[in-house]
Amino acid sequence: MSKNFSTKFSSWIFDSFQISARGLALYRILYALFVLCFMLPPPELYTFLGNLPGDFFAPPPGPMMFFGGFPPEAILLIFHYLLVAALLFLVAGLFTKWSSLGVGILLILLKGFIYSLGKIDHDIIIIVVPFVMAFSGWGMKYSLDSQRIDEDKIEQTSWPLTLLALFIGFMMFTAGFPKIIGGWLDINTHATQGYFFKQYIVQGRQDLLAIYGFNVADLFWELADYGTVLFEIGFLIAVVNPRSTRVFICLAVLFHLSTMLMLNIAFLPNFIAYAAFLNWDWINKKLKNSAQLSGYAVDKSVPVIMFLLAGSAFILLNYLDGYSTMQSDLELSSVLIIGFSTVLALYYLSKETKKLLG
Amino acid sequence: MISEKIIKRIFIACLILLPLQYAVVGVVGVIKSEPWPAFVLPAFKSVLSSKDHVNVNQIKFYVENNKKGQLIEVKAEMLFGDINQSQLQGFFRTHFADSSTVAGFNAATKRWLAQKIKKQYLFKDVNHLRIEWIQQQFRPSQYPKGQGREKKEKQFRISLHNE
Repeated sequence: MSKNFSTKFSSWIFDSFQISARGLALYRILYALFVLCFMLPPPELYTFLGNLPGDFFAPPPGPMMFFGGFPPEAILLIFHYLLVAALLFLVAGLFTKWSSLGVGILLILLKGFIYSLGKIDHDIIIIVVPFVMAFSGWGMKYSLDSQRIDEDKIEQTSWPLTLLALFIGFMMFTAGFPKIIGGWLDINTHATQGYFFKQYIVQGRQDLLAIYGFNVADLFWELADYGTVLFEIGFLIAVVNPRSTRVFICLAVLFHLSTMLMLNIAFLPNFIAYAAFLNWDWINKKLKNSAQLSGYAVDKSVPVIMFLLAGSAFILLNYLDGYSTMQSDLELSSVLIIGFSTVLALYYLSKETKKLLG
Repeated sequence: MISEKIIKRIFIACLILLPLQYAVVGVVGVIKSEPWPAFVLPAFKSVLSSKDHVNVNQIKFYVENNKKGQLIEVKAEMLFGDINQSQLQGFFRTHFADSSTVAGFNAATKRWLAQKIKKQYLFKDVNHLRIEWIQQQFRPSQYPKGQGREKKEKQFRISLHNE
């Protein structure tokens, strides 16, 4: 490796996403609450799986093949509540590194059983986050660990964010590359339109703007085919630079918005991974200002404010799902989260555009 | 504390291993099915549309309860309503792909299916469960006014008598 390349490589790894220990801690709280409120399988599913005949157990190649069938409901519930406990430890920042790894392992296991029905849902990104961030020192501040362990013994680093960006970029590439081989760029066919029909007719995903999908011109579908492939392949190239990474994350939010509006697919797990690249130090500063007004110690009140804000917002979103009038499996909470993320993405993109235009 | 040198090595390992695992996922996916866990996102590789048409495959379940062969449709989504919508089509492709797959169902599975149908549709008995794979062909320019053309791709049945 030439010295120049080595320096650039080091700078990419260590300097791309500078973030403070407090910023990381706020993301930790958000991640754990998000998984607790939106990503946990419903316990009724365990009753169903536990009573399912063995013929329906089709484990995907990998560790799930070591199991001979679906475990009884009680075992699945034990894994479920262990996961809940690990997530609560993560919120509190107690044994943070081990609870992060525990969350990752338990998610692999529980989701592995669900995917042994014969279909994988590709939400691996919510598992990548705790595995990678376990080594970031996201439990160093706003945590019980910070009172328990000498600060010198916990290392705060930002390279896990670069690694997370690399994983997201690579996984986007795995979504884009097969499309080229599959013929998505053939101008005589409209692959996106085909999936629109499939979702609309077979899956009954007919909410939001789906009905208008029958009235759009062929050019729209062809642009959607090309746009999807270029975006997914381009993401991997974008991760070499922090600014382009953030721009592509904003484009990803807009991409998910369009698939939600037309195909009623939300793909919510990706959003918590994208949230890692928010300006957490700015958020910390704002929360600190609010905390100072409360008169309590800042280091104790900032995580409490974060917990209350995120927790109450997520509980409210879950509550609103009960009032959804949508016919498909799309949830109102997903629509609102993607809507909010779109506002943030458009704000960031407009700022970047202004910078570009000088 | 992890040294900078080790972290650089972790990144180099990831840059090498991620494409390698992707190649393995591709090969295993062709031979058997997609592995779990794997660092991949859904590709939606297949193109379902041709120049003028869009082809969509759909499964239909029917209960056959008398000798005349009268069919009563049972909604797949109701029969397996506990499964996530996002997994349902994959579940059908895996377990109800063809006659040889369902021929391998043991007595416990047949009993489970029979009980589920009886409970869901209040049937006293269920003799046979007929499964049809339909290909619907649409002309996007004419939909939704012109309905899609249906072509039966395959059909097979399972005896659930006395289960």
